[in-house]
Order: sequence, then C-alpha cells, then structure tokens
Amino acid sequence: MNPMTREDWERVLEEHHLASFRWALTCCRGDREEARDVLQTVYLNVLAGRARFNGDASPTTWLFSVIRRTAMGRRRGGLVRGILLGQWARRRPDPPAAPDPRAGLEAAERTARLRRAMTSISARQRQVLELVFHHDMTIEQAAAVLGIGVGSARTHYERGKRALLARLTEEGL
Amino acid sequence: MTDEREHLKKFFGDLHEADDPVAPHYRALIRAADGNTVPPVRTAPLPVPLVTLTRALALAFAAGVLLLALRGPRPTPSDDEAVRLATSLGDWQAPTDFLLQTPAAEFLTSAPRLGTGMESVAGDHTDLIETEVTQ
Repeated sequence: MNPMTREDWERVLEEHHLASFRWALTCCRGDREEARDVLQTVYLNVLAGRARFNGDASPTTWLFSVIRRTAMGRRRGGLVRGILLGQWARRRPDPPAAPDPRAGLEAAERTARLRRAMTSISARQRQVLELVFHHDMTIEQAAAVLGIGVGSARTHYERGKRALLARLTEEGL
Repeated sequence: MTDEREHLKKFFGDLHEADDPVAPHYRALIRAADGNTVPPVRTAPLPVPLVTLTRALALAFAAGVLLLALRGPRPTPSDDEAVRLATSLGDWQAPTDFLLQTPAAEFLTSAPRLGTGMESVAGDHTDLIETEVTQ
C-alpha cells in the first residue's frame, strides 16, 4: 500500500472536516473552543506526520481515533494543570450552547431538550451511539475508534440506545 | 428497528445542526495549524494562590533544613550507660510476679537427702508433720 501523502491527507481532512468537528465536540463534551483546539492539534500532527496511519483501519476510523485520543490527552493534561493551579474546585461547567440567533425560541427550546436527553446516557454510550447513528459506522468500527472491545461496544450500544429512546419519549421528541 | 434507527439518526443530526454554524472553517484551521509548530495549548496566567503556595512550601522546606542543621547529630549512649541499662533490665520484675509464688514452693526447688531428717529439707516442716499426724 502506498503511503498517503500530505495532499492525500489534506483531502481526507477536508472531506471529513465537519464530521471531525462534530466528533471532536462530542469527545470534548460540548466545549467548542476545546474541540477547535483538539482539531487543530490533530490536523497539525497528521500533516506533520507525527500521527502515523498504519493502514489497519480506514482513514476515517483512524482519524476519529486520533481525535478521541487527543481530546482525552488534553482533558487529562487540563485536569492535572487544574489541580496544580488550584483551579479544579472552581472549574466552570461546559458552556451552554448559545442559541442560534436565526433560530426561533421554539428551535432553541428543542435544542435544549435534545441536549437534556443526551445527558441521560453515559459519555461512552453517547460516543458509541453517535459513531453508529450519526457517522454511520458499524459497532466494530466504533469499538476500534474508542479503543474498546466489540462486546463492550455492543453493550454500550444496546444500553445507551434503550435509555436514549426512553428519554426521547419522555421529552416528547 | 428501522424506525428507531431513523429516529436516532435524526436526533443526532438535529443535535449537531445547532453546532454547525460555529464550526471553524477548514482552511482557516489548516492555516493556523501550518503557522504553529507546536500544538495549541490554552494556558491560563498563574493564579495568585499558586505563588503564595509556592512561597509557603519553600519557607517550610527552608525551616525544616534549618531545624535539622541546628539539632546536629543525635547523641549515642556511652558504654557505661549501656551496661547500666542492661543491668536494670535484668533486675526487672513483673508486677504480677507474686501470683506465681505458691505456698511451699521451696519444697519443689530442693530434694531431701537419704539418711537425714526433715531438717535437711528446706522450708517450714510444721505443716507436713501436722498433716502426717492427722492422717
């Protein structure tokens, strides 16, 4: 297999840019600034050849896996910095999503309900479900992105799906 | 099952739709990434409590070092003192030692010699003689 050139990667990154941002947002628990920084770090590492693709998975699966690992590393680093700087106790919660000014009140309310429904499942369940339902991956691919076993991913998928559907019904969505 | 799938697909689609307007532009991000040689790290200015904490730790460390230096080496006991200590340990008796001292215990620590009277046996014989007479 021919190694991918920088131009190849630029094309892949551009094709997946929006999906990558959405995935980074999920990995950063909705923190947009953090998601932007994560994405920039990932692009920098991929284009500079620091993150190496060995062809074991599809480029998308690999890219999403790099995004997840980068987000996780930054979160850990941020946590350590926060503890060292004494900021852990007064960490601000993730900023609430600013309502789109073009959208009406009803749409903003609907978005808030969607987000509330999302908080009813664990972060790992959310990630599995998003990869499967939003990024059209199989459970096996989702497991590869998340670095977990297929059985574990399947459990997260089943439980998360059940809980989310129940919550969506409760919210009338 | 298909309904569920479509429902969840729509849910995630709607959820992300609100975030799309704030997504960074790809070219802008690539340019920023090209401009940087190190990954971006959001840093915060050092808060004042950290400076105070660092100073307090440094002061505590200096005080500890000073205290150790002033105390000097710990004195070791001399030979005479060691002997005195060992002797005092040998003379020590437990406070409950008297409980082990039973009546006529001295008969157990000596044996009578053949051909001699009771006098050769240590201890008070009156009890023994009285016992024989009564029997």
